[in-house]
Amino acid sequence: MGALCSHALDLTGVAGDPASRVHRLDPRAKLLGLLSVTVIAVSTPLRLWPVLAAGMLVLVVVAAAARVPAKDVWRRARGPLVLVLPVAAFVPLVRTGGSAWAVGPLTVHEAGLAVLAAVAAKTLIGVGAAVLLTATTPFHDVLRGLEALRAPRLLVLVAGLMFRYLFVVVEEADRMRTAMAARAYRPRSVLHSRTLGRLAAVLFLRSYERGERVHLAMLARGYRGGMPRLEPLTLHRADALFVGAVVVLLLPARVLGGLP
Amino acid sequence: MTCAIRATGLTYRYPNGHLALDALDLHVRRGERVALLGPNGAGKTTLLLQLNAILRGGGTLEVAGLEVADDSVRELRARVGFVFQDPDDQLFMPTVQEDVAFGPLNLGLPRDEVRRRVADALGAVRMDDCATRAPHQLSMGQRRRVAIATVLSMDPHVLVLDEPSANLDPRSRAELIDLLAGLDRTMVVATHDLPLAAELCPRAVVLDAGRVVADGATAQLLADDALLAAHDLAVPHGFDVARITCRAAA
Repeated sequence: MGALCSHALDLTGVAGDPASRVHRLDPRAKLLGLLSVTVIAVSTPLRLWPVLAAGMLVLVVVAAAARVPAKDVWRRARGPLVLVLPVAAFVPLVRTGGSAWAVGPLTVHEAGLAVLAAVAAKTLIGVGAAVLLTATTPFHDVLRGLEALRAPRLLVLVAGLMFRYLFVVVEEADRMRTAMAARAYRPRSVLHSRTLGRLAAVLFLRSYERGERVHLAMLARGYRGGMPRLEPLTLHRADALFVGAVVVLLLPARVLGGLP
Repeated sequence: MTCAIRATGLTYRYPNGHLALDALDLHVRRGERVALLGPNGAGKTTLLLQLNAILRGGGTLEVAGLEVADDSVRELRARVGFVFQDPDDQLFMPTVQEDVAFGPLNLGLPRDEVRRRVADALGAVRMDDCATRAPHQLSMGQRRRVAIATVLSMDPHVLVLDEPSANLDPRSRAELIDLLAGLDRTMVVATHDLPLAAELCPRAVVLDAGRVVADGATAQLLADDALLAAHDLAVPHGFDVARITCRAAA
């Protein structure tokens, strides 16, 4: 469990060239720009496929400008894609309408294929935008951007602490896994999973106790409900240009195409 | 103000009924370094938490010239820097720099002043080149030094450390002692590391069952085998207290 988690955490850092123009953009600009791409793509019907193609083009340009290698994008995107796309793959078999083709014992319908294409395109764009945001922006800067965009402060605080202590909890889980292996624990049947359940409970209790200690440490340094920042965010012309370019490229085509 | 800490009849009982401090009296002079020794459960950490008003119990307590009361808590926390046993509890911000800035920003200081304090505190613990790193990217010794920087940046009158040498390798421990020996502050150090106490603190106080059972020169107390044995303390095998030179404040 721990080794898996450690591997997953390797994917949370910044990728590409940290000195690129995209990396240096204000996190608010990247949040707004990439969220716009996602919202426009999700609300676009398949008949307006040029809008979807433009959305993908924007992501490719952003990835190239940030010098994020395709393999890094794939490593980060494959998890969410594996969750969504296999489910969508069944739609052409069950959604009837239009022409139909027999593929062995199965029948594939034209309407179902259209839904699959739309879901695949929107998922690729949504996941791609999220991957590029996290690959070009440290997680704490994403949170600062959200806070500056007036996201609920408590949620931002909880997300920040969760991310900070994810690494500590993963280390604890790794140590517990090692301790179990050192005492020859090797689950052989489903019944043995009860032990894992108990360990999860211990991990939860330890995390809860740590939460209380962290709260005391915050109080000891004058915490009164706010998380003050040393360096406030500042928007520059490049940030406005980035958001403006994305919106100008996608929004008119989307609006002129009408409602879904 | 010559008395940094004046505790009289300090009592604290946890909600489960355990009496952690039992009418404890303790006076610490300004600029003094005091080691708090004692077995597990003696009340060392409970006493430290009272000094920062995180726990409040019976008796009277005056720290850094302030009587501990509801209206003095904010000022008290500015004057007493608390370094927790586990640096992962202390370092909760995403980067070292933001963590060190957290306390001074809460004090309402202007940003330029906070930047200066962050640079000074990180310089004092020799961690200037790690300002933008995340705490989980640091070694345990580095985390401990940054944890000390997080309270130094608040410019406290009294520095309170709970088991500062726990989980440190010998080199990190030696660096920590060097660092602490160079800080000119009133210091209260709760520790099981008796050689560290001997090297850093001219005075030691032994607690047991929430009471002060011995108070005197560290070298003298550590040479008293009967006292140490009676309170579950022991110097490491082969360790010669007489050969340790206590390092005076810079």
